[in-house]
Amino acid sequence: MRPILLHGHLRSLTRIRYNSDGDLLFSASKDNKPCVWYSANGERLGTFNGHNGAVWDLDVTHNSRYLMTGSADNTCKMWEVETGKCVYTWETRTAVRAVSFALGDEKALFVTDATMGQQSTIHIVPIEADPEDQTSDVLRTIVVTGAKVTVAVWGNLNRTIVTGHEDGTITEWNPDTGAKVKSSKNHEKAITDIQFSADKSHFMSSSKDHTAHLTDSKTLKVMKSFVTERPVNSACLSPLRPHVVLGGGQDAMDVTTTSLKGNKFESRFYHAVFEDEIGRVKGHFGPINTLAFHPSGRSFSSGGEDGFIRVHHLDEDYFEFKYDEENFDDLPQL
Amino acid sequence: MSTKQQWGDDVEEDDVYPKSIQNADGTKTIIKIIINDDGKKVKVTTKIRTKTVKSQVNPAIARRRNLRKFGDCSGLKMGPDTDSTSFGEIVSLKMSASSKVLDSDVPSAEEAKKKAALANSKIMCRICKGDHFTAKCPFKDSHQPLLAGGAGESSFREETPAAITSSAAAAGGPAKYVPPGMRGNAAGGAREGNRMPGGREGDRDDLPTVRISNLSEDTTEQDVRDLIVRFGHTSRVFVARDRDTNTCKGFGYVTFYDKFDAERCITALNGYGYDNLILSAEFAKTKQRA
Repeated sequence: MRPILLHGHLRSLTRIRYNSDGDLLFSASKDNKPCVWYSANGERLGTFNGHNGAVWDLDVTHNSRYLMTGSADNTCKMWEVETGKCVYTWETRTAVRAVSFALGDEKALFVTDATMGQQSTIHIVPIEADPEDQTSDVLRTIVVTGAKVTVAVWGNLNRTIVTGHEDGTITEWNPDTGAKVKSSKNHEKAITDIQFSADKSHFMSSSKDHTAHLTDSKTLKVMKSFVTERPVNSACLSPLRPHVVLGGGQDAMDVTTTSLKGNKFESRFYHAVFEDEIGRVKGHFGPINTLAFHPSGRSFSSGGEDGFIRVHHLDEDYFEFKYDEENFDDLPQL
Repeated sequence: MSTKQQWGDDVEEDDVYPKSIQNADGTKTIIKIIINDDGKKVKVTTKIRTKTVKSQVNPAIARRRNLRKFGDCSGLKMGPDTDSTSFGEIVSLKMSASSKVLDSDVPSAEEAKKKAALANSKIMCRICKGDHFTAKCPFKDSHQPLLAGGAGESSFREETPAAITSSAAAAGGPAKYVPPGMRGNAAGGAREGNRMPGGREGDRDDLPTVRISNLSEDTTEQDVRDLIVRFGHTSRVFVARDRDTNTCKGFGYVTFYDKFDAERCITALNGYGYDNLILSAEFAKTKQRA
């Protein structure tokens, strides 16, 4: 396959996300302009100009009308996707690390960083149907004691919020009461990404401890574990095949001090059930920071420390690949 | 200076450009004349195959397809902008149930077997038959090598490629360094001077070596390796480089383990077009030994 290279960002990518229809790809980077691209041909539709610092995370509503971005300039902004106009800005005390729209797009959360004497705080805000009515009201704030939050997403039916922490724990919160429901130390080092399956029954968590786990969202128990020899910065699930993709590489600051052979900045495909590595896609010149699978499962994208996004439309032979155990055609009919 | 036109400028002057020709195979050839960056007139011929892919999408996607661009992209016309979008090199995603084949650095089963064979071969000192290298033998200066009996066998054993690094390391150790050529003389006198470690079996002069010439300047060893990997296992790939510029001098040597592989390589690569040049491949002439 021939990947499409998107080089609209001046600095390393922090997050890429497809909208629910899969026609748009949103990207945030450490430069201050998140971008939106057509995922089919890599054409850039526009940039969202207005932030003054690195943009750490973004999320888009289910109907693809609004985009929310969290930035290190102590703001969280909501944008109109089709015009690039900023419709609302939340001012925060510290940098915004993670943002996520709830199912139904009636509320959203953003997490502020634990810096400058502040604790990591989850802010749950209502999202008005008409952005003109949007106010700075907050439904609930949850102050997170302990390790800093690195990622946060809504769980199944908005009944939970799942956060990943710098010490490798994954915590589940009750968004209505603000109580901590459960917590599980699944990783040894910082969690870098959490991506849910489409039905939110399980999620992939990736960590700097060189592993990624497929975790049951009800019990937070690790169901499958994928071990690599490098820090994993992002992991995503294929919506179509029982495959997961892991991306990583060492920290950018360590690249020059380690041997050249170790720098394999590849997206690595693993079989979700057998936990075997089944394929690799080369391309980036730096660690992969963020990965996203197209909702149809027919393409995936990776964003790297090198500032490039690579959109891969998967070849037909990828979909034909099967383990012997996965071939049910020759089973006797019941 | 005369203003006389070059003969090349007269060619096809009557034609009207840009011109578009519909080919029989459904492609279209577009020829146009443009003035390039150096101010020179150049003729550009592009062959295009247009493939229309129709797909049904939901109305929201169809509407979004026609949005006006905004932000830094405002004013750009429809279609990918070359400043921000380009095509990468073709990458392959080879799916395989076994992870070992994926990693090209992991040696194949055959290589692993060879390695295992080397690991099992015992190191035996030529002087005292102890399990160390001859150069490290404590009796090196006082004893003569055991010439009789298993001498031939033991010397073969020692001179495996695995020994190269270790004996080199030994040379830097506390023992006095004796050049390989002197070792036989000092010890026995009758023996012909030893070759460098790696002789006999591992000597690459005895392995089939192919000389590939007419390589382009920017060829690297990795390029050559990629080129010849399909012919078989190689023990060495070497590209001659200019000392000052570090560019390729136009030729290189590839040593195969198997003569058959080398022959296949020669038949395939002799006359093969690579980087705009026609390669020539032949068996390398062996160095003349005095």
